[in-house]
Amino acid sequence: MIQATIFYFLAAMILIPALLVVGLKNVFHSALWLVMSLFGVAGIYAMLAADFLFAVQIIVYAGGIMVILLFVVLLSGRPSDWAQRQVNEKAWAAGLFSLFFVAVLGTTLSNWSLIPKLEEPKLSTGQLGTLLLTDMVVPFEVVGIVLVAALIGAIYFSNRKSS
Amino acid sequence: MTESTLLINSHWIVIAPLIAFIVILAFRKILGLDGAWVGAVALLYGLIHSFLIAIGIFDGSLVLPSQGLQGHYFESSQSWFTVGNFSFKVGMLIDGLSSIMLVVVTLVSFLVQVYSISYMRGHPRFGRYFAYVNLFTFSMLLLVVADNMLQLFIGWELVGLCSYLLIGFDYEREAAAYAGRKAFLTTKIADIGMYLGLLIIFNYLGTFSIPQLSQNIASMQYPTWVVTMIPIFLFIGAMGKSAQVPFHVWLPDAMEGPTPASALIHAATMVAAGVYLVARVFFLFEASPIALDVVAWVGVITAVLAATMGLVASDIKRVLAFSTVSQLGFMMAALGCGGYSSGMFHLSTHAAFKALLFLCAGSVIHAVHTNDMWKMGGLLTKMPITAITYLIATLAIAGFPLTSGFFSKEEILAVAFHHNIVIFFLLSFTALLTAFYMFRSWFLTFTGLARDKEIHHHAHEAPLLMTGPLMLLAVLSLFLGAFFTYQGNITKWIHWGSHDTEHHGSAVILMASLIAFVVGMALAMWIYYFKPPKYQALAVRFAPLYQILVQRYKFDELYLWGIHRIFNPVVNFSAHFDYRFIDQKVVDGMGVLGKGFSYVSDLFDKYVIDRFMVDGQGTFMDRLGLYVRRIQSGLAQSYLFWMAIGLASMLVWASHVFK
Amino acid sequence: MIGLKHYLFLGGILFSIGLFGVLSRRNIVGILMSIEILFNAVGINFVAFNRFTHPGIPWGHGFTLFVIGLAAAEAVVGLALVLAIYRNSRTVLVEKLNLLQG
Repeated sequence: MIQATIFYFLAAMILIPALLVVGLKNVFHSALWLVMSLFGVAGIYAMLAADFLFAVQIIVYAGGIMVILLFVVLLSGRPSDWAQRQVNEKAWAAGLFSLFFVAVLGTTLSNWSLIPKLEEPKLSTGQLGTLLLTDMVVPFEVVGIVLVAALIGAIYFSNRKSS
Repeated sequence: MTESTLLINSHWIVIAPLIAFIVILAFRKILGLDGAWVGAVALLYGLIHSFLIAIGIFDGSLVLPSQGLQGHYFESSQSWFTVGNFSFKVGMLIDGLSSIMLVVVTLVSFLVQVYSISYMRGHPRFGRYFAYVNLFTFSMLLLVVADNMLQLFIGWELVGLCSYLLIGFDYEREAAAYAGRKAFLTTKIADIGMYLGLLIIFNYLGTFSIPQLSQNIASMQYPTWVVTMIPIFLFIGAMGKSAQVPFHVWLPDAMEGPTPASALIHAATMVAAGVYLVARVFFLFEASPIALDVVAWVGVITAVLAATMGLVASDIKRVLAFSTVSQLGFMMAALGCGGYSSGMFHLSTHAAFKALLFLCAGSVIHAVHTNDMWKMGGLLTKMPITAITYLIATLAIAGFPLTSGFFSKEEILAVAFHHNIVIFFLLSFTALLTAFYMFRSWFLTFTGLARDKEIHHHAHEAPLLMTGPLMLLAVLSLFLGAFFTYQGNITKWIHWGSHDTEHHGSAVILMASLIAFVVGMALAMWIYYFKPPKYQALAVRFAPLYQILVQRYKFDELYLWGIHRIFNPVVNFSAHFDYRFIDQKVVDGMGVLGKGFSYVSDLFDKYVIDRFMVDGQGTFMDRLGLYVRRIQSGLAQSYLFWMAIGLASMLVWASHVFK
Repeated sequence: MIGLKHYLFLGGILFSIGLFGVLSRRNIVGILMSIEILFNAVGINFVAFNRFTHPGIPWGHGFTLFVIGLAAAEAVVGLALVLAIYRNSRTVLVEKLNLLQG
């Protein structure tokens, strides 16, 4: 009961800002709403007993990525841009398509039986760490390399005078 | 030579002049004047062979194997070619009738060729003349011995051709060329009748063979119109060849040809072909009394009309031409009255004295270089042989007792007397006229004062090659008739069943013929010998009659009027129709139609094929490209969009497949 | 009871919202933000599946971690590019960036 309430609350906290993100004219405002949406996602993670993820989501995603995004939003674009229409001509087709997607998903899911929640698992951070360094070590390292590459690339990119 | 050898080889009589024709035609440049002798020799052979056959038949020593309605005959034929069931045959039919004709034709042809050697000397187309004469003789013999109607018709047409060639021999003269065409066309129109007759014969009687025809007509039943019309149609053809009224118009003009040719063709032989035809298929005429009446009356009318026209002729050859027409009328009348043998008898005697008359006329013309009798006169002293032989022939034609003409004419009168008294009187009257105009011509030409001194001065007797035949013919003219009458009748040769009657000794007939002769001769003598200026007075007194006679009853004008007023408009209309409608509308129309089609086709090709399909493909691809190009907008979002669409379709597909 | 279904449905809706945004936003940064939404939806899916089918072994968590990491890298590079583009063409509207138009 409580679970359902929390779930729906969190769902609303995710979805409504998401809609606002894609719908608002003011890019700055939509970026802020995205932050809220991310917080909601973190809450979902918590509900799903993914404690480490909950933390990572807030720290990295909402805290890091969104800050960069906000930087760029503020750095690129004149205030006059923020008053313009933000949604292009294809919006209707895209909207239809999204609705269609939802519809398909809905019809498929409605046929599924409700899978009950199993017993609460142990908190998994330790296990996650072990897993990362044993079974998932390769992707772990690769992601590391990717991050380094991105870092280097970003620095290089923004350093060039003429680009 | 045995009799059967004579008969078996009888086809050589016909072939000899054909060979002569080919030889002369091919080698006339090389042979030169000697080419004529080739023909003469060929004909001499033919004459001897025919003579032997005729004698054999006459005295019974020659046995003719087959027997038919016409008496005994010999027949041999070969199939020429076959069409379906019908085979065209070429063959010989020798009996009394054809043997007489064989002798007549070969004799006259031989004498004419000998005569022509002298007469035609110096003519630039000497060789061709003899070639034509021999071709003619071959054709005539082909006709005479024919054992089927088709061969007869072939010979018939060929003699028509030769007649045209010989009449128009001096084709540089417009008059000669015109006369040749006139003769050919007139006889050709008459030949339509003969052709129709042949068609009906074949259609109803089923055969062309003459012996077979005689059997069929006697034994089988045919529709009345068939039996009547066949002989009438055939007679129409005969009317053309034998110059019966109204087809007589060509014969006076045919005198434009060389005189020996006239003697051969237009006196003795070709014109006799019509008479021969009637005699040959006399069984067809016998079967229809109407046809016989037609023959008789046409003959009588011709005889009278021609004789009247001869009264006023001034050209010596024209007189003889009219005389020929008149005598042919006599022969036809005789046949029409049932006098089969008398008609043929007269044909034979006429051949002799008419050929003689023409050859004498040729001799005169050769000497004085003119045909006009009014320019002659007093030639008796200058050309005695010619004059005497001409006189003999005149006596014969006029019917002086004991000449051949006397006997044959008397027989005809006898036949007519017993058939139809009107015809008898008309023929007797004609005999009177005949005597008159023939003596007129003799008196004008040979007696009296010379009307043209120059001509009289230059006149001379003809050479032997010309006078020889004259003398021979004169003998025949004198004695032929007597020979036959007192040596047994001509019926020993040709006997026509029970229809032939013997008419000797009828006093009325004898009187009639004698009176005709005497009165005619006396009148001519009175007008032209004793009191020469009388004829001018006569011409003035009877001026209208004179005019009609001189203009030959305006037959020519009538025909020309018909051609101009009726025939020509029809022809013009047909030509006009053909040009305006057929050529312009239909033919050109087809052309226009074709052009239209090609225009439409061209349009189609240009617009549909080229522009639409060929260029269209290119344009289509171009525009398609232009259109498709828009997908690559350079906008990443569009690409994403299309990817999303692809994803959606895959989803749909997956949800269907993996249900 | 909240079951897998719900979480998946939530993830799905979020995904479609993100998709909508990607396809229809004119601002480059807007598109990038929509992509972030997409990543989050995916993450929800992973974790939900992991929680309900294999609760003891946190593979889903690991994956989600990688997603987040890659999202960060991508955000960095992308935003650097945006800045460069802005410097170059003075616009942040996608429809003006059609140099590759064919």
